[in-house]
Amino acid sequence: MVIEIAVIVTLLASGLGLSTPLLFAALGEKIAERAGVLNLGVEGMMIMGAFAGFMGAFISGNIAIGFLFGILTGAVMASLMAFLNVTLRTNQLVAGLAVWLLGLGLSAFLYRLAFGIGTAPRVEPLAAINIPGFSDIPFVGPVLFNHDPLVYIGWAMVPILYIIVFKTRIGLTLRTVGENPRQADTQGISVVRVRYYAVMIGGAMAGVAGAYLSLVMVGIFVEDMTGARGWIAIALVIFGRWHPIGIMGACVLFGMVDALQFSLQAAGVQAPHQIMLMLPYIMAIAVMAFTYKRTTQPAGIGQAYTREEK
Amino acid sequence: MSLSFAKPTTRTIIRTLIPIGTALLAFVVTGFLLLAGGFDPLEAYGLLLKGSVGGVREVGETLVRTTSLLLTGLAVGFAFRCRVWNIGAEGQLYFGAIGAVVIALTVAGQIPVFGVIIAIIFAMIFGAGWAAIAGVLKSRLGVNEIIVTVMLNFIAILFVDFLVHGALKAPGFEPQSALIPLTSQLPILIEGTRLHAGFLVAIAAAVLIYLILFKTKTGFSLRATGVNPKASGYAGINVKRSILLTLLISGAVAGIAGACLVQGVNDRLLVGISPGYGFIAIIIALLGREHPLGITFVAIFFGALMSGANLMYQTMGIPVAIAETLQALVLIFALVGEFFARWKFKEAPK
Repeated sequence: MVIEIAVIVTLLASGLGLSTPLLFAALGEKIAERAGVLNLGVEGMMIMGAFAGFMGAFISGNIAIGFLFGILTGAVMASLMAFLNVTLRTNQLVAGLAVWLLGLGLSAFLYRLAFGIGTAPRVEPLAAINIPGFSDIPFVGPVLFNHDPLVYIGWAMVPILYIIVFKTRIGLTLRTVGENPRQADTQGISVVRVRYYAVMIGGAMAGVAGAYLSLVMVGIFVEDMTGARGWIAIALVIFGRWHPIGIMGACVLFGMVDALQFSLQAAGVQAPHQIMLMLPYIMAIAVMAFTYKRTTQPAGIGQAYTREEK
Repeated sequence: MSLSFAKPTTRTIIRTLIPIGTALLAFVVTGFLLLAGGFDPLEAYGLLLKGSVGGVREVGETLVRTTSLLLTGLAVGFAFRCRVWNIGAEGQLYFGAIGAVVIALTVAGQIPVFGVIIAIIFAMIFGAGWAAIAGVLKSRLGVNEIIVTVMLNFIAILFVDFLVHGALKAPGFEPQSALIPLTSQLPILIEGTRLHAGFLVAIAAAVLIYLILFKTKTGFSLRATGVNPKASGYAGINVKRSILLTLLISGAVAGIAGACLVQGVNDRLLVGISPGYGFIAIIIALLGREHPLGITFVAIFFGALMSGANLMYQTMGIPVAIAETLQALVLIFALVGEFFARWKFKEAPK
């Protein structure tokens, strides 16, 4: 019985850890979508964040500087997305796909350019911290209060974003731009500027998500290490109905599935590991099939805003 | 437009110069990255040229790559043209490869001459079947096909990994299937190269896709559905059927790419049989303006990039991901160039 509880504790705790990169990416995506930009480039921003985060930490020997690199690189990739879509009015889907594929190629190229072929340098991954007093509580302590700082920052983002998006003027501006860009324009809001900011903040958060993979979860960079997590994050925004709390629920659910998959493998369950690895992808499809009809996405999504036409 | 053929206007000159200029810009930017990495970009680009068109063997390698890129590019371009965002060519390629190898190892291998064709047809059915999942979800439930096809890619790649470690594993250490019989292998076209008959299949597919898209009623209604689903619905076109049909055709063509890799290049199924052709195909489809002719040119260009990148790697140790970086940069600069091409015209009269 004692062993079983220990297994459940590990499962829940690692599920929360695994949900963190999804949470950052999905919340960032949500901000961009609230401003009316469907950012399909998240995966590309994430993998660049993973690479730059690793580089930063490797060179400086400091994880925090690594994360800073990841954030900046995510934002730079996002500014490219914003430039293509907001300024040049390229189709949003095309712009997103271009940024995704650039991130995929560029991260692999730059990593090999920096370290050569056949080496796999490491950094010491960010460790979990105990929260004094709380982490000693049986069961709840190790599940909730024994994580790395990013997990808590991720949780804190949820109420903060909720308040900003729904209770402040900034949030109202953001939503107006997303729902009705023309009206926003007539109110004197710069649609272009709001969309740039929203996409870049989203990109910075995707950068955090990517750096989390390389700097917290493994301590190395691997080509394509994001494994479609950026795409899953887009699905989770829909599943969570563009609401921070819904999104957090969706991310925790997916983190748990990932953790379950890992711990079943570790427990030696007789299922091929490839089939287990498919689980999150199959679930993402199932979730999309289940929720797509019931959702209402921001009305202005998918359209580049032009003043003169129409 | 026909007038401009006789006497090129500034507009057509700009239209042709901009893509060339933007492609060059991508090479310049990548050149600076190479410089920063301690490589001589001129030496590198010299090898790129030598490795892609430097001899019969090199041209053969380029066209081997072109075959996969053209087929997947056509698959994606066809879907995009009908405004169905099939990002799943990679997965459909993998399923095509499964179809080809399974039938070649069982039935088709016993049949002379027609065995090759039977295996390709099975690859088409498997590719179309895999795409049909996204097609049914999209047409029945309105589920966004982009995310579904991305997920299906990863599932397909894992499934092939699973098969070559299990059900299809040949005796031995390597995770790969047994060699398919000679009767189901695509013949080599030119002695001393790896260029196989799949290249001709790809060219035929390009012509066929062109005919379907622009010369048949079906193609017209598929394109019309993409441009304006509502109006097409009123005009009596079955929109749901169109979406499904688009994905089926697209998946079938991507499936042939899988068949060519199994029957023409590797003669077996193995892990990572495609180095991401189905993803590069997205760039090819967009750069080729979703037109079979444009896609063919870009596929040849990108095929050369990939085989040239191999020589750069072997000789100088330049990472092969340089090809993907160049390809993505060419697309991004082309998108920027397209904006300026449009922008210039606005001031010109007419």
